[in-house]
Amino acid sequence: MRFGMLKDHRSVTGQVTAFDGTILYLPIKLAQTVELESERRTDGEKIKITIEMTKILEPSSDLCIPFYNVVIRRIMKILDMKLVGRNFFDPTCATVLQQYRLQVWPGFAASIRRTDGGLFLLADITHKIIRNDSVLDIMHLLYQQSRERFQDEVAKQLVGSIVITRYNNRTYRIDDIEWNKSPKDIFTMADGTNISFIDYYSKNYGITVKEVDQPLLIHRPKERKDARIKMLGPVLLLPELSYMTGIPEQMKKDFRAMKDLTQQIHLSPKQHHISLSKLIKRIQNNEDSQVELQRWGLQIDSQIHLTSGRILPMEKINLRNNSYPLRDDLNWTREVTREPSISSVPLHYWVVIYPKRASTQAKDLASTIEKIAGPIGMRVNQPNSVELRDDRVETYARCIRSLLEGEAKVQLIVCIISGTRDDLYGAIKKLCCVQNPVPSQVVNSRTISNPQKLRSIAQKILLQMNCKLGGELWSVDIPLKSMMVIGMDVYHDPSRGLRSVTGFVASMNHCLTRWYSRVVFQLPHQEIMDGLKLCLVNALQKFHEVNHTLPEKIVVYRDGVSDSQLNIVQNYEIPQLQTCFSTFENYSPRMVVIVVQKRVSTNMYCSSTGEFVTPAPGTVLDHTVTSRDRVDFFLLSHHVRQGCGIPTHYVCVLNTPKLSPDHLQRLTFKLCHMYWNWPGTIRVPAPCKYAHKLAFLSGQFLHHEPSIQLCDKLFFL
Amino acid sequence: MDQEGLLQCPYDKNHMIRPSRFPYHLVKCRENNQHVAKALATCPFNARHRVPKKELDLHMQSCESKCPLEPLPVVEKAEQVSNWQIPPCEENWEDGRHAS
Repeated sequence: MRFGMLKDHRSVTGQVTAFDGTILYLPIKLAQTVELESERRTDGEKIKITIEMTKILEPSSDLCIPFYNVVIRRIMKILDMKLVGRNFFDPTCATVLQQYRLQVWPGFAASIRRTDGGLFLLADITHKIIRNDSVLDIMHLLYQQSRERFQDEVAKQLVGSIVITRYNNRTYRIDDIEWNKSPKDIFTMADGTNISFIDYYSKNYGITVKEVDQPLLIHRPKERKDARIKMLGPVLLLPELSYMTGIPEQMKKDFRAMKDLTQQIHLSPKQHHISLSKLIKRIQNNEDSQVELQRWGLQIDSQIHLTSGRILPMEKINLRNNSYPLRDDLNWTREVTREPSISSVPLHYWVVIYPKRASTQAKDLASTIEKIAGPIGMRVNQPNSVELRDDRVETYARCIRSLLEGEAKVQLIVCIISGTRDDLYGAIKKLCCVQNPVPSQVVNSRTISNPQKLRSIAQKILLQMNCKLGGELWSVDIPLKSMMVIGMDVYHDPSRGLRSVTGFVASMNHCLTRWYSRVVFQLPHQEIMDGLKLCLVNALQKFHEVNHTLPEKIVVYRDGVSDSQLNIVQNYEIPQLQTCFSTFENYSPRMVVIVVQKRVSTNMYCSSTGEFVTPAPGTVLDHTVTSRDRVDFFLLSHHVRQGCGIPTHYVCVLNTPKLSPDHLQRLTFKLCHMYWNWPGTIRVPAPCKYAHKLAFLSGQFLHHEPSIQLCDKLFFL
Repeated sequence: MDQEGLLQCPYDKNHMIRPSRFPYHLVKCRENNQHVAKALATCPFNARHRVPKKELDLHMQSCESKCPLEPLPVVEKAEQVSNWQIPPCEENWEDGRHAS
């Protein structure tokens, strides 16, 4: 309505306009206030329009950024790209994988950013996976599988997944299923008229609904911040017209299918560069899009931006007896499996529980562990074996309970289960982490069934067991004294029904090999943390207990915060942490808080060899593309095997010890070496990964705080 | 607007806030109502709880987010196997800090 009425006045505003409903952007200057009159088309009423000049925008002003993005969106539309979510896709170039009943849409994430180096078009390649089956097809399939529990099964499978409706290319999250309605039912449209779903689709989209007796899907739109848009009720969708997106769960387990798919999705740096260059060429070769850009005096460079980064010095890994400089691939599997770990807990009394079917695998595993324990410096006695009659959850539970309630002190329980069974895994973890705290290890019998791989897998399992018992595997040099490193992350339940979980992990010694962990439950889908004070107070108490002193420096890595939430971290979470210090006498440590962002669309290539390749681990970029207002940097810490090197973005929101940027970067890189489940560098600092693991386990399986007796061990690995 | 499920802002009783926006609002409203903020204390169990300073003890006894302050477990002797000496660090970032 507003747009139309403003269009009537092209003679005044000129042909070049951009209007978002309230703000009108023009490339020309009008008089201070302009009053216009329009007629409302629906009822013919006269409406007065007042255009008032509020501001002249400088080309690099912050306010211009949303406006530039509007222009980019228009250009993408001119290029026939479909906007799905925030990204632009090209369904005409879709790759169809018929054998898996999937299609892959190539697309771009493109936005204008203002950074240290000026204005940039930040573009990345994305893909959308759309299944050929409609939700109705899936419902039919489920109905055939189990008739009695059909509705439960459907809800379990579908709620939380994202569907796309092809008639308008919109995506929705399924929040619930309306069994009592069908397409024959009537709903009220925005203008107040009532219409049935069947008529609505045939009238608006020319679609004939084939099955008139299907239930409807419910999507509850996110509450809008904007109060002007009134709260929308739930959106009802037709299963027949909704298509599932994303990789089906079943396919994720199929190794070969995933390989075919990843070939489509993971582009090498070279391919990535070619695709981006193509996009720029398309924009430049299309006359309409050029006109659109020129009208606003914008111009896109024909080349991607080249700048120079640097590579951080290599670290060395300290084991018990020796230190090892790292090789290029930053992997030290060989060293950790052949040399003694820093410390290991002798395993005197442990139990292996297995179903009858897996008895050979269980025996093989136990004997292999005995053989490999020597080199890593761990004393392992023979386990007690318990064979179960069947592999029902109840059988496992009864066995574990009787073991833990017995007189003897069981140090560790190993459960061998057949297949990936979330219910069984959850039950075991609940017993061993909440009710009867004891470190536990669940092993899928499939992973240990290949005799050739058994040795290397047993080595990994044993190292993991050692961590869970409280052993220490390796460390790197930490040239800062009296420091505590903290990792924080939040887990959200995918269906949003359950509470979110804060994972909090803090280091307890100088070489960062002992960790203390806490969990706090909070409202569903809440990213901002409420209960940090207690976590930190307890961590500091524990630190004092171990070291008889409090840390002078605290470095916090906070994962999972978007740019728009940085402010709230600064003003809501950091004060919670800072008020802890007054609990202790004369204590005012200095604190660094770094926000870790993994999901960035920045890509780095290395062009030193003349060709675009993935950069080496340890590559840092802290200028040109970084934020103008904050201290931030991009660090690629992991060894990239497939696809492009997506660096992790670190934003420092507090730095009272005044650590230099170089030291911040190097400390971060050092911490990326410290994740004991992987003898190599990972994408995020280890405390973040530990916090993530802990929150995930607690939220997904335990639904409860783990027992406090386990808080000084890495039981959640 | 649906009034149900809204939370009252502790700084301005007229503000009714959706739970999901509550932390954001607290930050903003605290700035705008500094005189009220001075009299309120933040609950250590849950930073959403802002109560008058005098009532904090009472609140802490009945706080719904309260978690029992269990005595921390004593580290077992058997686990103190770590007699490992940290190899000397080649660098020291503490003194002679790089100018940057």
